[in-house]
Amino acid sequence: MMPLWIYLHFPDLQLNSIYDDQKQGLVIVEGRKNEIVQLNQVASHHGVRRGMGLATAASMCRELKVLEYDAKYESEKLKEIAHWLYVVTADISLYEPNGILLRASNMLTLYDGLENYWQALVVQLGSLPFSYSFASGYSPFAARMLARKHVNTISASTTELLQAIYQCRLSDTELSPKQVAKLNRVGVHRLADLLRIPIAEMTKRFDVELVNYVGLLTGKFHHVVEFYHPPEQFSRYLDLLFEIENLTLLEKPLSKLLTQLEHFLRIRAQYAHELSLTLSLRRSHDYTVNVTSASGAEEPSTWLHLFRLRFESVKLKAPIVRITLMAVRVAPKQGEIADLFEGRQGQVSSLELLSILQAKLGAAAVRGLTVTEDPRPHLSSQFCEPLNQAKTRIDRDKRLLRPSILLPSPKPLRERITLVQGPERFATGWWDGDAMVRDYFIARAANGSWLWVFRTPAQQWFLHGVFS
Amino acid sequence: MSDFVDLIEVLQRKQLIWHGRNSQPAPGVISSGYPVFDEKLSGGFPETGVIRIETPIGIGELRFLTTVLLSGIGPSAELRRKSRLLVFINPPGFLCAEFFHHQGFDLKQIVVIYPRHKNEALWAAEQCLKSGACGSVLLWQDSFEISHIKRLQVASAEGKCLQFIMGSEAKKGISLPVSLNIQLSAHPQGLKITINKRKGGWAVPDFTLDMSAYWPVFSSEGSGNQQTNVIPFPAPKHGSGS
Repeated sequence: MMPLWIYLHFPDLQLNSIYDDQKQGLVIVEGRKNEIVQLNQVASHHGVRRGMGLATAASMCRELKVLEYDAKYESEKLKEIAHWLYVVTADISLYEPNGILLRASNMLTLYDGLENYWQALVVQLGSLPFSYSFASGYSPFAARMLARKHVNTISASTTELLQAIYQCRLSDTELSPKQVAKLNRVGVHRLADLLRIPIAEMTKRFDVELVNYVGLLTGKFHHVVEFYHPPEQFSRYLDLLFEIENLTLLEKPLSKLLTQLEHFLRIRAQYAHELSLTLSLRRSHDYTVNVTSASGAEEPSTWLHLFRLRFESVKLKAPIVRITLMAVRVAPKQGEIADLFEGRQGQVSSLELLSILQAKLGAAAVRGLTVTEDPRPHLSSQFCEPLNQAKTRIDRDKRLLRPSILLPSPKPLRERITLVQGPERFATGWWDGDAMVRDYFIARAANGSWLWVFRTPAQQWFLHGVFS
Repeated sequence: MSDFVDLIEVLQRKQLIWHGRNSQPAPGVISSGYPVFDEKLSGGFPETGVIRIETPIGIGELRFLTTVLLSGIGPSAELRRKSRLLVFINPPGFLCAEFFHHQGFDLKQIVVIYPRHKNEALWAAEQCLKSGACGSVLLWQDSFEISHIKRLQVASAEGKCLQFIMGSEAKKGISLPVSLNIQLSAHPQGLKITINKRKGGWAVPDFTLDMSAYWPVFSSEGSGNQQTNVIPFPAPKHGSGS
């Protein structure tokens, strides 16, 4: 079975992504051809049409704002759309600068039918400001061709789709004008005429490129498609239509980017901890504003508030032309419950907490504590992996007092002490060559602290711990 | 006028008015295990918050906290505090497992952290506090900034966890926003306690905490427990001393 494809064509990608207040006519001109490629409603109202020259357009609409077409910019935006669609569909391929191809067949089981799948896509696309046309097809080329023709139907019926393809002109296809002219000369004007020619005959009469194209269009040849993989980091920018000198005016476009950030974080169950906002200034160096939130946040209102505070101390040297928002540090949302009465509460399990601590501090810095069977004081209390104590039942006499804090190694005793209890004799360790003979005492120092001291057979005194 | 009186009555009934003389235990307190201390502090330690303990090392400061630390992680406590962790950050030495074992701590619940520097210690404390997986966190550190304590306070409330800051006597002049600031000093019977600061309570004059009933050895009178069944070391053969 041939896979079903859906193609989305965004004719006004650049126009739609500009922050436009619809007060003034706006056209986007492809510089090289001097041809209007995109225009807003105001311009269209004045009679400006696609394909017109700039001079004609200017004569029709007095206050016309002109922007240059930027294919790179559209490609960037296209990636954002793909990113956004990735939430509902898996196989996405980019047709730069303004098309997106989706492989529908793999998603139909999940959505239980093409109709539901398409509805999910429409809802997802509805939250974006971009206008689009669409079509389905049994090959990427067919879907693309129909979408660019604004067919705007989604269907899985083979005959219906074939019918739609048959009606297309050769100029709608991806064939070069030279090839189209060649075909026209032999009386082939519509795709129906071309597809009626058997493949064997076609190879004889025309070049291999055409045969390839027809094979791909009809889905008989395998079309290699490279699929999109979403990036891990959030970084979006927005070109401002007006240069902004007052930072309070920046809030509206900024909140637009923050809303996108919120979606980005929400589908990943993440919080952003640090954002960086780069203000591109006219004829000056970029200015970067960093804002951090220790607890992490995703809501635009929280971040906007933080930015507002930060803006108070920013002095601009030149007007802003573009803003770029980047999530510098994000972290997964840690389990927490928002209690109605007690507010946000931590709900991280002990193991999760330990992994967080060990990841940052190193495993050697986070230790558990365990008692061993060795009676020697410096060996009976050992560090181990936290939460991972071996199950040993140690029955020690609880009347034997032990200090709460031991020195890493005994230190020679250098102060006057009063012995309070003792001695407790340790004469042990003969089995592994680390034998010890010591008399331990509990003592009180002059400053009132309680010490655990010992005396060696050579009558030397050492401090080994404190009874904190 | 009568409306005003009514209003006060209503507020009183709803327990929205705090009386200065009210010495009944506030709802969110943990008993320290020492009745004298609990009485002076109207119930004991606060349930959450940052508690600074200014103390020299080795006078019994951990023994003093044993009960409250146990109730933070132990099965006897309320508020689903079961099997929570007790975290020691940057203690002044190794912790002796036997001591904690004898005191009834489950060693599995104890985590010791030795951070490389101050910021890591604060970070670790904050993570532990806000995780909700810990009952109490003890941090040995002397100098703090006000913002550090504020962050710890917020994290402590979020995770319902108690933060103890152990350190030597603070420099005068800067008042940290801690919930409770206790100064301990050695006393023959136990500890001498000075309450330097206490949130939502009256000033308490200095008092002595007699711990001799709990720790008979660590009081000047309790030293009569000398053992007599000890044989002296054989005299060193070529020793220099006695």
